[in-house]
Amino acid sequence: MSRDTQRLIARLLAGAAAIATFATIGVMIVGYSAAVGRIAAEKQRIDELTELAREDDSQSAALVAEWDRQTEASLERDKRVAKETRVLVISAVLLLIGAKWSVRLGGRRVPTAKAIAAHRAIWEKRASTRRRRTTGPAEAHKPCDACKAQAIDLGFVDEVISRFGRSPEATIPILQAVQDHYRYLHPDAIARICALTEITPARIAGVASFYTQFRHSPVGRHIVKVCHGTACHVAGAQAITDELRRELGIAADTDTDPTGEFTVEQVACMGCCTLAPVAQIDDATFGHLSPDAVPDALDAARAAADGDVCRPRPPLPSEDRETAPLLGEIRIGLGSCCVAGGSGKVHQALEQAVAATGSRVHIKRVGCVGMCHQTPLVETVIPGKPAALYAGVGPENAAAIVLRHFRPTGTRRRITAALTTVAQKVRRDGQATPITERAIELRDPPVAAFLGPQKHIATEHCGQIDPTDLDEYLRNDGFKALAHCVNDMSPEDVIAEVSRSGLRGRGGAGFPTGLKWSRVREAKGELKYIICNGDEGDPGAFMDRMLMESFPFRVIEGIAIAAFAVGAREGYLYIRAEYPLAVERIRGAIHECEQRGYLGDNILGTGLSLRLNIMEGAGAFVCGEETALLASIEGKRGSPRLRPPFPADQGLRNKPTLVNNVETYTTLPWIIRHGADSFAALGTDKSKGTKVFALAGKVKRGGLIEVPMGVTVRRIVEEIGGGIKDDRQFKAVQIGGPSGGCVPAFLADTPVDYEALAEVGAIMGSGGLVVLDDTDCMVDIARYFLAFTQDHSCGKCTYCRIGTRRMLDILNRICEGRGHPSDLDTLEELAHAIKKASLCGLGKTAPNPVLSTLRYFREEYEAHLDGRCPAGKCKALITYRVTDACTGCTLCAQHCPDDAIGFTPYRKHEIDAEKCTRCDICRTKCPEDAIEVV
Amino acid sequence: MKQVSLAVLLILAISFITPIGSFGAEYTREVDVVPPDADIGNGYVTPPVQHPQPKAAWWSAVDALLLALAMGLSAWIVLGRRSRNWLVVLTVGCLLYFGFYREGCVCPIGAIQNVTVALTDASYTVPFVVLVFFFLPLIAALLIGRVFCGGVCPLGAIQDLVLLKPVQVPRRLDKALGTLKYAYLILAVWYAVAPAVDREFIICRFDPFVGFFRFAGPGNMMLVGGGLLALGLFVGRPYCRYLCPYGAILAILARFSWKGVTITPDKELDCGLCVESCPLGAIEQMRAVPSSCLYCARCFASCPREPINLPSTVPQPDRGGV
Repeated sequence: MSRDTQRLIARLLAGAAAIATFATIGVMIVGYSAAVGRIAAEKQRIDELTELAREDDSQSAALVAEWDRQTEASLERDKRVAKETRVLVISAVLLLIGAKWSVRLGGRRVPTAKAIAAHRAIWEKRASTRRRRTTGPAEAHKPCDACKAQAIDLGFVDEVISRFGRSPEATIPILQAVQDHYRYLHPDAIARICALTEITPARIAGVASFYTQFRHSPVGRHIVKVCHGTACHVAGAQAITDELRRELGIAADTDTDPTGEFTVEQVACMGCCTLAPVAQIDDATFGHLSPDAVPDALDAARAAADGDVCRPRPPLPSEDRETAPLLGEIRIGLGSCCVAGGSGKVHQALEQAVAATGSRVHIKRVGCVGMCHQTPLVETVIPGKPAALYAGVGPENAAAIVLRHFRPTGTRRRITAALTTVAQKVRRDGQATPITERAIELRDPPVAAFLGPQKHIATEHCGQIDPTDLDEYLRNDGFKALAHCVNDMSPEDVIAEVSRSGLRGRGGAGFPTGLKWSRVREAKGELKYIICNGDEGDPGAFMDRMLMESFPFRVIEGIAIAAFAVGAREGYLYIRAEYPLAVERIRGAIHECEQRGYLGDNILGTGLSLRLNIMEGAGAFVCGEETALLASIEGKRGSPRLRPPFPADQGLRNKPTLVNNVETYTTLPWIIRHGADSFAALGTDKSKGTKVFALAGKVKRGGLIEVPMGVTVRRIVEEIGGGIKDDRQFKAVQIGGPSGGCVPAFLADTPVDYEALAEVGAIMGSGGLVVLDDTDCMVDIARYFLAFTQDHSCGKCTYCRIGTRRMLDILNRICEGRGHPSDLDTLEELAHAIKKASLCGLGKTAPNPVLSTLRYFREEYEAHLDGRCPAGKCKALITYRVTDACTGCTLCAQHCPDDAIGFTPYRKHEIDAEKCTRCDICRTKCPEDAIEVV
Repeated sequence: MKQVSLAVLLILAISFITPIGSFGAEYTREVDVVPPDADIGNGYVTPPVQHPQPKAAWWSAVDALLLALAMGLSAWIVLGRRSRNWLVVLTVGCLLYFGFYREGCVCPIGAIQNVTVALTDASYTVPFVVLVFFFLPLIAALLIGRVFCGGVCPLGAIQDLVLLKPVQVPRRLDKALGTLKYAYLILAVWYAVAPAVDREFIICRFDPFVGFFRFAGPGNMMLVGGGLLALGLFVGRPYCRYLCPYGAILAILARFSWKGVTITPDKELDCGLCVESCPLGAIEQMRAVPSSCLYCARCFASCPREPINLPSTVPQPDRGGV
């Protein structure tokens, strides 16, 4: 039966039934009103006859007859009503069936995209902030010459100058403070600086234009920093930036939106690689961003600025908590990564939950636990019981965790806790996961595999001690090594011990530490400097940040040991400005150590002195190079200089200077305490000990790991990292950042060792280890790194300045499908020339990513020359297509920012190639993997 | 599917065990006040005791069994077969039996008050079948949610069948009206615990649909019932969602249910195509909310992962052998 016939029948049925229904209702109403109308007359008739019968007995027969007649009529009526009711019911049922049939034939009702979005908006409680966005902020602000010329209060400049002094060396700190205050380098402020200090306008122009941190035009009220580190790059940082610019309506030639609300910046690396892609808005870091989470993040920033963030209640006051016995402690990781993962809120929630139980439980902030893929991590430690570890904890789980391990004191609290638990369960209506599902066991295979091959030396006691608590550090063998050195050993003994341990510089080049030290020791000069290089500029690396954030006292102890050995009395920690928490922790730790006599003029009562200062970097990658770093501390542009003379002979202010990496220093206390032999027992022939790596990229379990040297790359990726995410194919590991190279999957059995890595074309570098899978385009990776080094080249050497530019042009051309067959040879030729003719490490190693990808993935380059991108990354060479596996779930259409996909529920979707901007959102959103890149 | 069959078995088992009590105790009562035999005339002799008709006891057992069976079937159809059509068949069957044939009595909704009175007044007893009817759906709600409401309850069935063109009630209004049923529940308990003279069985007295089942009833309640049915053409099950006091208890228990309806047969897509498919407002955040999901099986058809919607190129979801 055709649809039309069906519809006709359904309508006829419904129509006929409707007529019958309403007719019956009419008949019933008529009958009812007639009966009602007769009631009075009939009653009157009975009354009359009763009256008559009372007077005359012979009339009673008539009364009885009337009774019978009326009874009969009433029964008759009841029967008729019953019959009518039946007809009514049947016709009503038929009417309903007919109506339902025709409604059904009208087709399936499908919600519109708008309706779905509206529902989502309700759930996500975004309605109010959305409204605010459309109305926009009150005053529009456009950076223009008038604004720039606007007079400002210069009192702050005077204050800054009095704080940092008038010498040219103070240039960078002064500029940083001024920028912090005025949000950019205001011309009036700069003029004031030049007037009051010995700093010349030329020097300011030189420095300010060299360091990427400095801004020369006004910015929006909020600053959005999108991390473009390696891990973030492969995880789609560009899509985040694109979406931010699109969402805010930022024009191509500027970074600030038309209303002056947001400024979007790209930064090299924020060191939250396991949470990639990452963006920072004002002070809040957002991890695991996806383009469609961008509006939420912006709303959160607006809300935070408006002060309507939900502030948690302060912990409940409780008198008996002070005296109650300490039941145990709850440890929560509060490194930058963890905070970006949301552990700050969990910390607050835990404090409240503990306060509600009335017991005394120490909630301890610990440094990085290493398992960054599981953040936020919470561990409960109760003496005499096994520790319990929870991963991926949210603020809503805090109460459950606390109650699981700590019984509330007092009946009233117990009842309250029980009721709250039930009430919360009722409120969430079956949608919460039980806390036991968050618990992880150290014996669980994934955790065991992650921790098994590791050996914690630089990261000793990770996840167990409070980074800001000096007493706890002391209880855990802190400063024992320093005490041993200054009391029982001579500087020569220390150097000999370190030499014997085989420790090599962890900054990347692997220069033997003992050798460097004896050189500084032997150098002539009363004043010697010691410098800790924490300018971890490599995108994709965050070991130094973690070490400084989690073990600030150990870093200081290491520096003190080295200073004792080489005879330095003054030192600097050069820390990237992108690591505010590291700066804060180190500053706090230095202060505390000076108070307690571990630093200062009389170290441990021996009369030795060491003063440490912090120098914040200003966003120049090249300052990781030691001579550039020294120039930067001196307040100059960070240009490397020719070596020799080495810094060991003529370093900072032409005095002998020891420059070592953070990790090198951090390893020292362990070596002194356990002896050089136990350190040398670890590792390979030429590379001793352990190395800290930042494992990130496409692995299942990313994090901060410390492994003995000699472990193979495969073991790191497959055992510790748990293999490739989404079970894709392992393609390569990028080691060493922009100076390093890619180790392809077939060479994954290469051991982690300075020489072995150099042999395959990579370098140890500072330890960034970004795993790549088959969706990562190697040409794109090479281009990414080259763009980075090209941007950060100081411009001193022509080959580095212009050669990298040319190489980048060629790579860009190849990625856009306009490559020339001779390009690959030109690339190689240029690469070798740059390597030969550059002065410093940056230029010498800049072509490495290109060379190593050319060596192992030449066929990918050739595919690009043919106009194909095998990994589907290079936008100009790909199109997106929906396959037959599409179920019509509309998710792609809902998320497409360009309206390139029509909303066609339950049918195969189509992508409009004209409108498509290859943002890749649809592919990541498709639950059926029905979108392919061709 | 293992869990579903387990739940069904459990419900059946409980139902088989519980009615046995009702056969054991034979109900007898001394006759104390009767009209004298002479007044009745025709040689009538008053029997010494009154016995209930044995048929009635049997019917109670049959009712209890059928209830359990219907709930088991409903659970299986919704969770196992995921079939709206079969559920409609069950709904019509239950409407005809529990509604029109048994004339809407015994029903668990009214039993709230009987059970409450029995708990507070020692002189008041309730038949065992009432207890079964009252507790069985509650136990089921703890296990798998409000399966009783789905295809079994005759009051729900009559509203479910008239639903013609559902509209989405604005969520706030829906939530606000939803609190009425709790007020009704409190009122019902209040009247039940009152002293015998003030006691009022308000649930049964103001039952809007029982009049339809009996083709007779107070005119005003018939009007209310008719009005609710007319409203029910567009608003899904208004009585169940906003007024039913038994629904209030079920809603609370269902929050703790161990299993429930999942809209999608296998993987959650969060595509949102189901958001407006529920005429009862029981879908929030693209999931069925146990406390307001009435097991009507309407949402399944809206899931692109449901076999009827899937193109042949996509692997069919595993039905777990059902």
